[in-house]
Amino acid sequence: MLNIASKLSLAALLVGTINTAFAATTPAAAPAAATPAPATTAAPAAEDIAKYRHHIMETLGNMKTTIEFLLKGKVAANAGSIADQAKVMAMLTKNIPAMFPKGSTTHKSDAMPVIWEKWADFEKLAQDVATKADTLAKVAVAGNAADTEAKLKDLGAACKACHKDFRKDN
Amino acid sequence: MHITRKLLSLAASSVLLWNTASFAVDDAELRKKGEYIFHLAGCMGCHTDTKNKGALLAGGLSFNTPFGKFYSPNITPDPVHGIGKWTEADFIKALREGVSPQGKQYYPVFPYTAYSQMQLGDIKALWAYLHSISAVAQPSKEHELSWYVFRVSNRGWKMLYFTSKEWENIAGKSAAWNRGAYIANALAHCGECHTPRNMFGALKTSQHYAGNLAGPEGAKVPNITHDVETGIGGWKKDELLAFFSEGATPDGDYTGGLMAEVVDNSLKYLSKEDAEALVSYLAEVPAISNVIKSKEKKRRSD
Repeated sequence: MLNIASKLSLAALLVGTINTAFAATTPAAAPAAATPAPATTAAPAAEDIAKYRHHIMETLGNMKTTIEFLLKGKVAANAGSIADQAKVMAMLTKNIPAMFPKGSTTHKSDAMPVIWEKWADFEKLAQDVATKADTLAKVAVAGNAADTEAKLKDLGAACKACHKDFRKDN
Repeated sequence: MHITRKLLSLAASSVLLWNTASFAVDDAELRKKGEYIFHLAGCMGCHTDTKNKGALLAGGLSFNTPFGKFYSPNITPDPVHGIGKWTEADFIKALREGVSPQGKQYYPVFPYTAYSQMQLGDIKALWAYLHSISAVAQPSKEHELSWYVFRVSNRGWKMLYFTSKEWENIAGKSAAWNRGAYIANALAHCGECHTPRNMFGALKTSQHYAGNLAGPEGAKVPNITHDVETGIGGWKKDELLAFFSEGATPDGDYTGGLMAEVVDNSLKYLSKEDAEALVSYLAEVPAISNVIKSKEKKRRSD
């Protein structure tokens, strides 16, 4: 297990990456044009986005766990900030559907192809995750532990609802 | 004389009313117990086509298996398409022997192999509950099976792989362990997915809960033996309880797919006592080292 500090720095790194990645989406088309073989570009791209979102999801899971460590007093309160970690969750869940371009599933990915058949349902569940994460961040900043715990559970239920319909339990 | 008769009949009818009322109360309690059994036995997941917004227990969900495509039947109290004309004895026979009221042998895709271990009181309660839900006039679909699969072959299969026997507590094990074993094996039928099968579709009992690479719809079903490396031997009691009630895993993830359905349809309904009983049982499921998830390996190297 990583310790809390390195988990946090990992998260910070990822937040940095996600920002860069989003910023880079448009100009990235230019260097890609230099490489030929357009027929094969689709597969590696699916693999990359699948890996990428896997890291984001892992970070969300890590943040949920570290918030619980702090809430339950398993580690000293000054080991980290519940509010900051909740804010990371809110930031990372803002646009989950953008991490699921059409057909971006690989043999390693647990994303179910039905995502793209029931896209509106998927978007709705993803939006619910974003909303619940935002609420969590707000109560975490306000600082009431019981509220934070309740909203973290709400967020978890939203995560599960989406996993239930759209992720294989492999 | 006339008045006496009237009084007598009044008295008789009030006795009748009182009887009906007390029967109704017992019945409500029985149905409530039956609803709990219904949740734990996981009837919902297979008999309701939730994803296509199908009616409760009206069946129609398809299952792709190596033997062909099975459809779950309608088990609402509809007299034509459901089990409305069944007697309680028919229901007991279906669960205990895997035989329909018309004498047809059920395919073991219906886990009568687990339900045959159910206590009679639980079966009767479940029967009472099933008769309290809305009847749905929706015909059951015929299975679409491979040419080599016949209903008559079910008899041979049963001779080889099935013994009907009500669960009996094992002496020397705690009451909690026994209750947990009953919940896991007779009701929740965990082994139907978590235990691998042989080429005839029978559970490999020597690999009890060791995980299954060829689970339903091609899913890889995790090893839930007490093995620390490849199973759930490392899970603490609180972590198992959180999984039952919320589907949360110790690494901060939430379960998905069929297991999320199992949590929502069954496990989250476990009473505190029963959830703890299930933990006691799982804690003693003999460890079998069997790698199912490559993720496991990756996580260990974290």
